[in-house]
Amino acid sequence: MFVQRRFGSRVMPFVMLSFLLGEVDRARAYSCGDPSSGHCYGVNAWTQGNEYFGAYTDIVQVAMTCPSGCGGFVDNEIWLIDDSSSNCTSNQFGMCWVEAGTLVLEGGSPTYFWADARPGTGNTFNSHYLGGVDPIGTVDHYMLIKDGRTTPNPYLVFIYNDSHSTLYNGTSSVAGTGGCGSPLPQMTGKRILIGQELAGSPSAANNASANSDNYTRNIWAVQALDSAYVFWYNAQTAAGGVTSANPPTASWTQNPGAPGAPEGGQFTTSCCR
Amino acid sequence: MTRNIVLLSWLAVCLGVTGCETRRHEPQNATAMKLPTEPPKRPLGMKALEVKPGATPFSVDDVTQYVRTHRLARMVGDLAQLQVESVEYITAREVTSRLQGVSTGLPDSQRLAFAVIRGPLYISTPTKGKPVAFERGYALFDVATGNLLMSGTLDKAKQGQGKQPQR
Repeated sequence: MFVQRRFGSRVMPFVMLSFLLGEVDRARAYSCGDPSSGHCYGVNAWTQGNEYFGAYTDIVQVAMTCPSGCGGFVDNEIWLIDDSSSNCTSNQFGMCWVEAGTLVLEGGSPTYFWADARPGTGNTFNSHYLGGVDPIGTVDHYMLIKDGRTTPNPYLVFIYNDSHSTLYNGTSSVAGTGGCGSPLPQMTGKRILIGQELAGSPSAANNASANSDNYTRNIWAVQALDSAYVFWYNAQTAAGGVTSANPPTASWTQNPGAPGAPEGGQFTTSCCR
Repeated sequence: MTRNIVLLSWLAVCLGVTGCETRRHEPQNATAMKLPTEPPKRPLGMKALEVKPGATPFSVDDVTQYVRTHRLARMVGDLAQLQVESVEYITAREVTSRLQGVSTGLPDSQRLAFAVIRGPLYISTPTKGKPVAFERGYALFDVATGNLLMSGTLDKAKQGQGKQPQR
């Protein structure tokens, strides 16, 4: 009304058009579902050290949606990856990994999940959907750790909160025999990713969304789990490589090792409004 | 002589009091964090299918409708081409056997619905790159709740299959 009084009714269509264009710009359409190129990522890669025996991060629960028509999903998570061992480069994906996080599929609500792709050529990739997530604002802990107590070493996955009112765990698949033969050696963690994955190519009105989220206590295990049942760790001290597909948007908001920064720094992601 | 006494004393202290066995597990320049030791929660899955009364709570059509309208984890590509080959009601133990050792996290006797999906299913990797085409995959549902518990791949598409790069 103020605009109409001040500039007259002829200006109104232009004002409304610019407002709408602004909205469209803020909720840009994205293309993250093409089989030729895959999903979009806002992630940080850690590559220090020879073998990562495990990985851990704290991720705050934030509002995440993937409305009907979003055509995919959005998730916040951590990955431990081996794309160099021969047993992994020879599987169907050319790599092995274990991942854990919070996922929202089209029309669904946020859910804890973990997944792995193991060595070998039989059943390779398996995703486990665990249950609804903690209230917004809760800091959840996501841990992947190689279990040195058995051979071949599986990876244990833990998702939990401070009070342990949420506590899920899983054991990665190790056999990877392709249906016969002896178990293959398990993957060797060479790379850690933290951040957001986005899938789908919706119209802007049906975009998935995830509020700004912080990843802190970014740490990695220096040895496999033994009978002491302790996660021995070093903190991430280097910023590493950041991928920000915009969306998802991702950056270090407090560099690892910076004075006053949380342990392992603070990485932040968001999508898509 | 003095050196031997010192050495023996150190050995006695090491074995008897501090425990060399424990110290071997403690890496230098690392921090310890204990893992949770309480029993974990049972996986509940995510809301998926409506359970119908009777021996077969979901039909092939129910599962087809679901997989054609819900993109399972890491999947890309056209969902309309997915077909559900079969829906079988089996125990968690049998699921583990079919999936070559995969743990469902559920009691062995838990009754589950194992749906085989024919694709091609395009599955993305954790990094930017071309997704991989699989001829068949699966979805696993809780018979009691209709919740989706797991999904994954079965057989890789043969060369020449799965070349339909639509979104």
